[in-house]
Amino acid sequence: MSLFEAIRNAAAVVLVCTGSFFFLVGTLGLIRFPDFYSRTHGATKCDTVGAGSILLGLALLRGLHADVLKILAIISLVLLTSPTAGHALARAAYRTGLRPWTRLVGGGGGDAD
Amino acid sequence: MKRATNIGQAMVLLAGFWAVLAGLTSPGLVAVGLPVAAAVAAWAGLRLWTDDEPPVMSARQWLRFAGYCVRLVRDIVSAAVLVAEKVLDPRMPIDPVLIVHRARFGREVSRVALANSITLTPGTLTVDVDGDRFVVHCLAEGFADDIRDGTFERRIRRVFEEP
Repeated sequence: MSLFEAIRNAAAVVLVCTGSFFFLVGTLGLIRFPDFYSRTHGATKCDTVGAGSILLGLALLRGLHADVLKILAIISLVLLTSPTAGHALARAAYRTGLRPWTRLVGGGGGDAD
Repeated sequence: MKRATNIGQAMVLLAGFWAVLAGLTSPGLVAVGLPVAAAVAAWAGLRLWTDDEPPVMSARQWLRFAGYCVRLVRDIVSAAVLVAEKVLDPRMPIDPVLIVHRARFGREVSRVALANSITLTPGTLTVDVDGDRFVVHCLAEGFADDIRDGTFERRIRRVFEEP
């Protein structure tokens, strides 16, 4: 394995690990956050940072290949659709009258534990 | 003339998308893909965008869009670290607020870009868009700074609104 390849592999591993870390954090947020809106934050951030970083790592592993363009297309589609889905969910909740949890009010919409 | 360039740009995008997905390993794929891309682009240009303004950009706007993406990724990464700290902190020091931001744009695509960028950035979530009124849910007051002082809005205006 040449030096260049070693560096490339290391960078890919770092990117994939970073992505996995943010997936873990996003999932933890999904469980720990107090109400629907803040939980949506957790769910959508998994996609932007987690999936984005993992896919970039995979593209780096693949090297100079046409598949890299496919991975880049997947990244841009994820970055377009994931916020749209999160926004649609939040908007539906907002228009139905779900009030966000705040420190002051405490448990406006969900459980304030 | 404007319509012709719109159709041309849509055709290039569609043909490029097809080329990426198909991998373009055989001349047969090109022979199928290019005419289909041309047909779909022509149909979209004549039918789909008759009422709305099509989401096309000039070459300079594409260039500025690339710069915008780089800056957005930088912001996303720094905000992601802040949110991760809050999630992993046992006390979970979040203080969610709903803020209302007003931004008047000339094009539909600018509003979409602003709402999408806000949601993409960790810590902020576009809850509702109504005309020029953006309702944004923030995990903490500080995450809204870039929206409040109009940094986002200014960048988007530069990309999509200036010729």
